[in-house]
Amino acid sequence: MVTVQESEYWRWPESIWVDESKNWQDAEVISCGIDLGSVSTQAVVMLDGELYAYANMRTGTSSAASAEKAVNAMLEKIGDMKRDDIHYIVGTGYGRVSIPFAQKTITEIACHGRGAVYVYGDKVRTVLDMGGQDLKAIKVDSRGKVINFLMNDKCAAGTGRGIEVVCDLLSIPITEAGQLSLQVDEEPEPVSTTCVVFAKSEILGLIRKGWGKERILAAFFNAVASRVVELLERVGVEPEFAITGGISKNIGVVKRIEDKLGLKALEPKYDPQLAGAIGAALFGRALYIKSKK
Amino acid sequence: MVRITIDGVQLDVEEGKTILEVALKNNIYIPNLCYHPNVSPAPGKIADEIVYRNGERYQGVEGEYEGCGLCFVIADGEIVKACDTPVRDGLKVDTRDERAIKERKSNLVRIFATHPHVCITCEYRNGCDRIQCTFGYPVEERCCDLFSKCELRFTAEYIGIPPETPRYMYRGLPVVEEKLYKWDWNYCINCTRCVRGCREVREANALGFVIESSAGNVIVGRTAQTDVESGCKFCGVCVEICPTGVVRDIKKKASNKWRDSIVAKKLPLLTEALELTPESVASLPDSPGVFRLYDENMEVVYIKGTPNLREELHSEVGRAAYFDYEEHEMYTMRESELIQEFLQKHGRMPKLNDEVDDLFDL
Repeated sequence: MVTVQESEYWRWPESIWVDESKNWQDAEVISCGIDLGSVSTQAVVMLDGELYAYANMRTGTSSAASAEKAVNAMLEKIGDMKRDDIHYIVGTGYGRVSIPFAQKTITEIACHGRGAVYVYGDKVRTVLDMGGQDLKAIKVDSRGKVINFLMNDKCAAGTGRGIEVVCDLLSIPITEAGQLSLQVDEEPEPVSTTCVVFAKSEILGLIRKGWGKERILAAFFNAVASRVVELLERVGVEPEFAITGGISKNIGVVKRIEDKLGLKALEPKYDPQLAGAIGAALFGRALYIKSKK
Repeated sequence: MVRITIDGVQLDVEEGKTILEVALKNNIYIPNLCYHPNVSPAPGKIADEIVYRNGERYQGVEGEYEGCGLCFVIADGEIVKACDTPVRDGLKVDTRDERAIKERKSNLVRIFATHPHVCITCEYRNGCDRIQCTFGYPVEERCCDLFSKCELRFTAEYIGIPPETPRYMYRGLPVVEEKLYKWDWNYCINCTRCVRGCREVREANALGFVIESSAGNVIVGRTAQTDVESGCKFCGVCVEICPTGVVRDIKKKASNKWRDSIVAKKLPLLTEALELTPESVASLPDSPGVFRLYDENMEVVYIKGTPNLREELHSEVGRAAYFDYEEHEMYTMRESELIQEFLQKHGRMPKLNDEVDDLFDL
């Protein structure tokens, strides 16, 4: 019998982390934020508004189970903390209302704004959230309060899911695609569309033409960047500018957005995929303090 | 005062006003487009001889503008334009009569034949950044960037866009860049609102309209070849009053007032608003959806999605005067879409949506 080993190139690595230097029993307020997205789910625990632990997992078919899984994985990593030890849990993201143990839900727009200020510092004014299935350009003030936003959730073009599909098609692990796309001598013309369906057939055409994988990725990421920059310009880009969400880890896309904008994206202090969950946890802390007053 | 009846509701109204004015004042919506509260009604205005677009001359014949034809109602059994018919004692008005509705629809078809409308009829219109079109319509056939506050769109959504509406074909009409304004005549529906605004509000005579001899079409344009020659006072009233996206202030000087006149103009609600009382809430479905709360002035103050409309709205009783709702499975997404729409129209969040405001400094 022959077994075919099929790799899933789109699979990005899940991660779980805890800050061993802190002791959670010393904290006054323990808050938890859960960002239940269409492609990934993040859970974070913050001690008095400082990041302590997180889990970043793929979202499964059940929203409630995905939230549960992320929180449990994080608690297991911490070791001796139980869910009841957490003072306040806030849910956010696309599936935010399917988190049965969250005390409150807050929109992802508000949470991403607030979280971005934590991840990037209070200088950030424009936040681009590049998620699994949508794009959001958010303008915030120094506290991370949303002033304006523009999104596209009707079309997966240029989103995380679109990039997953292309990586699968080219058999390139998604974590390496960004770096690989920069290894071209000359930047190729962007593919004519970032529509997931049409891009797929266009890319197959390029493979047939004999284009290298690097060049195809460069052309695709170039198109993604163009689309994002148009969205940003419509909401008005103000420095400082930062990218959150999974695609912020794709250097190939980030670099091209920076080149087109003529602006350098801020360097994150923490994993930028956590911004939404961090914002939720910070709101959770404030809600707990408010409830005690 | 005279006593009239609109859709069975008895009203005591001021004499000398039109049916449209008294209806809107009493929160009865009649679709309208060429009407604007700051200028006189359009029907019966005499056409000019010549107008210009980008220096190009349009010679007209004698005639008058008949109006957009969207405000038709039945008054004492006759089909009339609500914007042009004064009220009289004992008048009975029916705004929902089949004949009136049919007339409105056929006039909407006429307007849309020469105005882009794919975005208005698109199922994905909310939540679309309108940069890339999923259906591949070319940019010229799509709606302009004022989509989220387009009065033509709101009016058309209320009337309902008939299936016989023809596809819009780009005609390549002049796009004129003047000192302060940019005119894209492809978006013009020739409702003459800017003409009346120019004449009556600023008392300039820089804009006019002609009736084309061939098809009897109305064409709006400048009364002379250039802005200065036409006597333009650069007041920006045309920018404010246009119900579509024809004229823009290049220097954005009018941007703070941008479209305020239209936001203030009464627009149709998406669904009928109900009073927010325990009784009205009790009959709601206990299913997922989105709702909006309104204050006494019918301004949206809160937008929220919820897995259970009845339960959630029950807890909102007392926070606002009215509400409307729609059932929707993907309510978190729909909530974001409606907030986005509100933000683009008003440039700020609905008042009560700022509830997390006090959580920033704790």
